[in-house]
Amino acid sequence: VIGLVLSMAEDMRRSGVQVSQGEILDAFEALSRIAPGDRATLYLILKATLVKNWRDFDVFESSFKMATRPLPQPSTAREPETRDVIFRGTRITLDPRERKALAMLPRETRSSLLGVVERAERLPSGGNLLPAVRLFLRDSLNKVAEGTLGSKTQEPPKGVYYKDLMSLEGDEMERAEEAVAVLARHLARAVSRRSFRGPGRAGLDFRSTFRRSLRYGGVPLELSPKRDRRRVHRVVLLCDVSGSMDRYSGFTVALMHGMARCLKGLKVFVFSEDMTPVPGHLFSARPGSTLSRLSSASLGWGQGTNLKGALEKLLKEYPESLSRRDTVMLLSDGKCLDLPGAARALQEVSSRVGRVVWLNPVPKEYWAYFKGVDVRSCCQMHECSTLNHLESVAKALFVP
Amino acid sequence: VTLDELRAGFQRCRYVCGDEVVLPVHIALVLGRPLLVEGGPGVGKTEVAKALSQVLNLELVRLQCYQGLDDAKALYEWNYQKQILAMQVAPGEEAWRSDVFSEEFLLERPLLKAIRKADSCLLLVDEVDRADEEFEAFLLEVLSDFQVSVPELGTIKAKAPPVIVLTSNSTRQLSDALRRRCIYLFIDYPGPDRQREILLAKVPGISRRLADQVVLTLEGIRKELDLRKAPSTSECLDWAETLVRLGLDDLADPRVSQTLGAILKHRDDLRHLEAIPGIASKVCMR
Repeated sequence: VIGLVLSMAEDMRRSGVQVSQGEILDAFEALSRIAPGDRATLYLILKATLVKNWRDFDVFESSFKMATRPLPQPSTAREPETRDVIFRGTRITLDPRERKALAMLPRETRSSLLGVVERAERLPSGGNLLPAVRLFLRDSLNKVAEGTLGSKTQEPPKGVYYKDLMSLEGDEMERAEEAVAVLARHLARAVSRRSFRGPGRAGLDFRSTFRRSLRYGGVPLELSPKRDRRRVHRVVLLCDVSGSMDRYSGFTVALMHGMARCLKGLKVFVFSEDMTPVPGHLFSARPGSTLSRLSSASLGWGQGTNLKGALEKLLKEYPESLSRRDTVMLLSDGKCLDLPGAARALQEVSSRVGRVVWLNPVPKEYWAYFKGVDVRSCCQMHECSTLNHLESVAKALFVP
Repeated sequence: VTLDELRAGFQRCRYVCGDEVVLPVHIALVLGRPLLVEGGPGVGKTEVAKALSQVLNLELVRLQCYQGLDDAKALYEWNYQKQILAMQVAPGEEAWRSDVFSEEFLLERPLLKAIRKADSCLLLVDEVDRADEEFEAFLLEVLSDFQVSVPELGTIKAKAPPVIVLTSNSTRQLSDALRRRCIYLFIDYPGPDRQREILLAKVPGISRRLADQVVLTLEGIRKELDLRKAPSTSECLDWAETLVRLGLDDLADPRVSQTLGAILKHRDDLRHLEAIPGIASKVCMR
């Protein structure tokens, strides 16, 4: 069981879930005090102790399945493979551990491994391939020997929360949309948060306190706290729906939909070559039907990107949406025409509003490979290529 | 408390649940850790704490969280008026000698009350996600060491560590520090069979037929319709109870449409449902 818990924790960490030592110790303690009679009880004990967030349940489940799956039976026809491998007449000597690993491999995996050696043998004998083949074979067998019969050579599956939005497939997109709805609520709360410090934290209202003290002969028996002003920030959401953002259309719509449902004063615009406001009634349905409604509303989906034009139109035609109380959220990959012009327009928008928040769905490591809008002087660009990133953005923007 | 006793206790309190709920609760009790319960509104998070307090026969001390909640409301407050009066009543120099920051002038709030109780109690920190992050950080000391610090009095350690249950609706992400200190329980909407069991256990006088109809209808409403707020378990119970009290034993009854306010809490949702004639029976048939 110790091995099982440790291997699960390692798998979960590799998938992006943070499992601390304390949680592992909790799992051990719980297992030592509640004997897990069956697989279901073991599952529930580990679930309650190792996972502390519902969003990580899918990672936990796949790790649990992987860790508790029945071990593959050792191959019965192992005799020929336990011998050393011969490559072009030269014997590649395997140590006992490597031989054992080779013998224990399932038949298909062993055939595919030795097939690579056979294919290398058939290559034209220009250079000396023996060192490379030896290295490949030993490296593969060592990896097998370190893990449990080859299971460790596989990458643990990533949970929806940690997967690149671009690589979501099948029912993952549906689950991601549900998660985006929750995260959009957090994000909406973070960007539109009222400045509210709670009663009494803003200090004492002396005028009111003195006035109240009159009824007690001047003794300040009733203190009157100053009321903090509540400021609600409005949000303008500007989404790029150009061709380069096509692959993120599901995410874009889920974000628009989620935010529109929990922020009453939200103004949503989509832009590609032109910018168009999105009417609120389009968000009354589920995200899936919203996507089809938006597509049929001919809002310029899949065209080129003119960020400069969109921002200039926003400045010119919707100046009432841009005040110091407002936050502009921009969802775009930053690939657009006239980059300096777009940067200037963004600077202008930034000077009018409280803050500009740019969400970029392209992974950060790719940002250096293409020229994007220089945003350094006017806003911060947040990576938003996974749902985990979106949650981090919501946390980062949340100013108490 | 053994696992079997806990199962039986929950059943006795008519809290219908499976091992997916009982086991995390048991682990929290065995390890002496706080229990963090998450789930959508109305799935029975607070009820877990209430049922547990009954099972363990502990007093329930509840702290309802809200934005702006601070330690003065949650932990303690000095009785300012009493302090002023004490200083005024005491003659001359004696007023300044008397210690107005002593136990006598302390007003206990739920957290301090739970910590200082001679017997253990169940402390329910309800909707912790609604409180500010500062308050969440303040809670960490209580959750990990069962103690609180009052500057004027020093550190107060729990005489009998309370059983702590925190609930959250996920309106805000809780910090990892808080999550790590707790045993985690996520309560999802129950499936049709469990929902039926809950109805039969919680709504006296409901017929099996009506329970089936209510469950199927709600399943259909949740799945088929795009609502601003899908009906939860507690709303399902309210609706069933309404139907029983009005003597409606069949959802095909036209009067059923007048009771939809028990499950739908938005005007748009009500309109949406009312626009489809005989939705209850249609969904039910499906």
